[in-house]
Amino acid sequence: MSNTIVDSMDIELIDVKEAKFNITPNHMLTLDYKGTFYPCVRLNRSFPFTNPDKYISVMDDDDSEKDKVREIGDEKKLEIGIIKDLNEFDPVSRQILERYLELRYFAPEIKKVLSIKEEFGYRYWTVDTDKGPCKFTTTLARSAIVNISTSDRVMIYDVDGNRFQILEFSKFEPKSRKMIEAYM
Amino acid sequence: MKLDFELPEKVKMKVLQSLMSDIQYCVPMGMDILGNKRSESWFVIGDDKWLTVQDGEVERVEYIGDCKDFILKSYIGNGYVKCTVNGQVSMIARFSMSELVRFGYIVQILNQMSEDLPVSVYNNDKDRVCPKCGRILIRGTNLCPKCSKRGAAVKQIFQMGAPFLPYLIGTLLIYLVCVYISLREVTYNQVIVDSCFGTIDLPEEFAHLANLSKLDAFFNLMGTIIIMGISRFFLGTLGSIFAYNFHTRFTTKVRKVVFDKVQSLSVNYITTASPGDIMNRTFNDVGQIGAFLQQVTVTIIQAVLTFIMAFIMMLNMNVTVAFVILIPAPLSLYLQRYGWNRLYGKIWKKWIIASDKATSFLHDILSGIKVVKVFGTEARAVNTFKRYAKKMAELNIKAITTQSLIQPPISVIMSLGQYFVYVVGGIAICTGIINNDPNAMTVGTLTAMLSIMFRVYDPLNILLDMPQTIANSMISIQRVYELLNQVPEIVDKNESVQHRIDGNIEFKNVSFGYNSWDRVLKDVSFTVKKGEMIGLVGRSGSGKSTLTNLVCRFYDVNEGSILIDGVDIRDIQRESFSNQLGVVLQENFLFSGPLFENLRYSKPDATYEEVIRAAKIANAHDFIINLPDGYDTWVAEGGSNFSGGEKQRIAIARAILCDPAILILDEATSALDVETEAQIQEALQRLIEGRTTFAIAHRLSTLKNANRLFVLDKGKIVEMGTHDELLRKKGIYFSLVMAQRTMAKRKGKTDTVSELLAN
Repeated sequence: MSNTIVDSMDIELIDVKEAKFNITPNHMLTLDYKGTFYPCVRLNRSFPFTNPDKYISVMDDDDSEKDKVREIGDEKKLEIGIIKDLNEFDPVSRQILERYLELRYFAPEIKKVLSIKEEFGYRYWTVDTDKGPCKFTTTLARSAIVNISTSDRVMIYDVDGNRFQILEFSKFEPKSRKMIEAYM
Repeated sequence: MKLDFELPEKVKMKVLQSLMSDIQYCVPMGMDILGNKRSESWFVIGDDKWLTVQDGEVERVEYIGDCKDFILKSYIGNGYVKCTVNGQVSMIARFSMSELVRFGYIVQILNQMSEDLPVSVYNNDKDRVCPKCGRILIRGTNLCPKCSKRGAAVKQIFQMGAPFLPYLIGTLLIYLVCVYISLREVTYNQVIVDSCFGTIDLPEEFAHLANLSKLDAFFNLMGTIIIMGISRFFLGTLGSIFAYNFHTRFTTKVRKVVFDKVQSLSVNYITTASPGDIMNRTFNDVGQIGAFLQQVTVTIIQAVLTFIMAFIMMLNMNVTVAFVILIPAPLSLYLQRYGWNRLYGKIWKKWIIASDKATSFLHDILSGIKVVKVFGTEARAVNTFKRYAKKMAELNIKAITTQSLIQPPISVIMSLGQYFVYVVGGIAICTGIINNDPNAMTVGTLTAMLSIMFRVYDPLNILLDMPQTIANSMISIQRVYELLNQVPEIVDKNESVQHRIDGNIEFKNVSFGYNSWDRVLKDVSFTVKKGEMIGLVGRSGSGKSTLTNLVCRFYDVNEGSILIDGVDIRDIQRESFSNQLGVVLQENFLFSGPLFENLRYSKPDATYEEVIRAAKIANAHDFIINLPDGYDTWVAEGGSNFSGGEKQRIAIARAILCDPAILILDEATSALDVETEAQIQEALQRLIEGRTTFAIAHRLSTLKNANRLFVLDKGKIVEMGTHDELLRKKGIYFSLVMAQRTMAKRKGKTDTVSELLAN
């Protein structure tokens, strides 16, 4: 069988057995991998909506090192590798990674919409989220409320760049759903 | 920007104890370090310590001297500050995106303090606070939703309609006359039925017909009814003309005011707001307001008066039947609404969404038809479209079925009211006949009442719709009001002068950032003499385009000043300044319209000859003259019927025509083939001659004619000099040139190989 051009590019998949993730008491995510210690790493999801647990890129986020890498002009070197599936990790490591990812992609889940008021060209929301009650403002643009077409998720973006989400919109509390649907 | 928030008294005591000094800066974080939303979380800086507060308790305190390298990290939906504390990297605070700008300053302050530098932050991002209630305003608006009175918005918009009020009053009067006439017709009908067909005496009002025979009286009455009908028709048409006049004149005026406003706003606002939103406000919202004004002033008053007049008339005819008519009104109105809004309306809305999706899919596929053909995915596209079409068809069938299912019962119930009136009226007539009561109800009265019945229902229906219409229109009014009350960031001062630019430019300690806490240019100073060509070199993100944006005065500097021939750029009238600028970009925008108009966009009064000369200088004449329509060629939307090189040359000709004193070339020759580039280089060379020019180019060879090169790195000018001087210096410029040469060589090799293969 002949190899296609796609096969010619390797993905550095993180070897689960060799990778030891940890969150320090200072809240930094560290990685011990193949004999190298990374004091600060960052995780980037490849498919944050459709496959949040798969193909997670592990990046070196040590700012003191970053400048040096940049000088050479090869940004790719920032990527240490890609985690194929979070579930390959033991429960303890997985929990560490999930905890980190939750903050990295911070988007409180809306449990209930208490009110949506439209005034002077902006929408003022009062909601209950899994992180507590919250008030925020969105523009009237369509892009403020996005129904992720590939899933049942609805993302809401406020004027400051905060994100809120509804994981299963079809099963969302009916009254709140109706309120949002009016603006979709 | 507010960086000194007041802590609650209880918390303040604890904080002061921990700091052992005064509070210098205090900002909210909006969440704790684990991402839980917290209203009472603070980041405080004292004389030599920083600390965090969570839920009223001091959480962490550190000496600033023990920390270094404070960095602000923007995550998704939140951000954090990290630093090295006693040699260990540590996350010290997490904040909500709403506090991002504030933390930008805080990090700047912490870094200066940790390095023992005097704290200097250029704090230009004014917290946009409502001057009345102190509430922080959301980005992108200067209206406080709490203090802005709806009344003020309505007043401002309505005032714009004042000059056209006579049209409205005219419409209203005409419509009222129409209503009166139509009610009179009913009375005439009643008299025909009762007195011409029946045996009842003519009412007093019609006593003059008493001497006529029944047939003559009938013709007389019928004639009047026909005349009334015809005049009602003409009056109605006149009323509509008045109404349209009002609507068109009003919306045209408001649209003009809105568009003027949009044009006066700075690039910053227009690039932040979405074009769709501005277009919506200019067209849909203004249209909605026009319709609303007309509705409030004409439709509502007309509906109320019609209802009152019709009801009084009915009361006059028969009190009992008048009230009986009102009984089924709520039920039938409710049913009609429920039927349409709840059942039919819902399906209809789904159909609109489905049709929207199908249309945008079709649009996508047709615009990308080449990609579809290349990958041979026609079948897939057809299948997807089939799915959308099927969905639309299903919904359509559902809507029609629902409509046919709900319409008959509604009609029956509506007519039930009619039967009701028939029964009550009929009983009244029959008992009248039996008892020989001369005051009893007559057949004519019953017929009249049945025809008036709907004149009572229709206004009720309109009035019931009003709250929704008013609510929608209020939203539109607010949106337009919000836009009209934006304050442009770049405005002419009273003392601004018209200045004929000579071409000497000086940057004096200029600092600027699109967000002032995140500076893109830092303390930049240089002088450029008239006629000098400056090449701007540096990596992407180093501040080259920002520098030219400042020269164009798309933005005002945060710190320092830009002097044009010794005059501060902020003291020069904006319009007179822009007229003397020429800009050629990598992607040049052409407006749809004749090519000729595009060419003289910068100088609308340019003659044919001037345009041809400019095109010749720009090496554009030769290709233009070969077009079938020459200079009259119609430019398609976005200039899609011209190639990149052609657009470039048109842009150069455009710049030549206005004879600019200052010229900006931003990647003007990249992405072109060698021959075209040579032509454009030649054209540019002619254009540059004698003008102060800033040129940005990634391909350094294109800057070989520059008098001087400025090398930018991280917002600062790090090297300055001629090409030769900079090469000798062996600094950043040298390494950039070397890197490009290596690339060129590599490319050269492949060329040779491909040449060999070709042979």
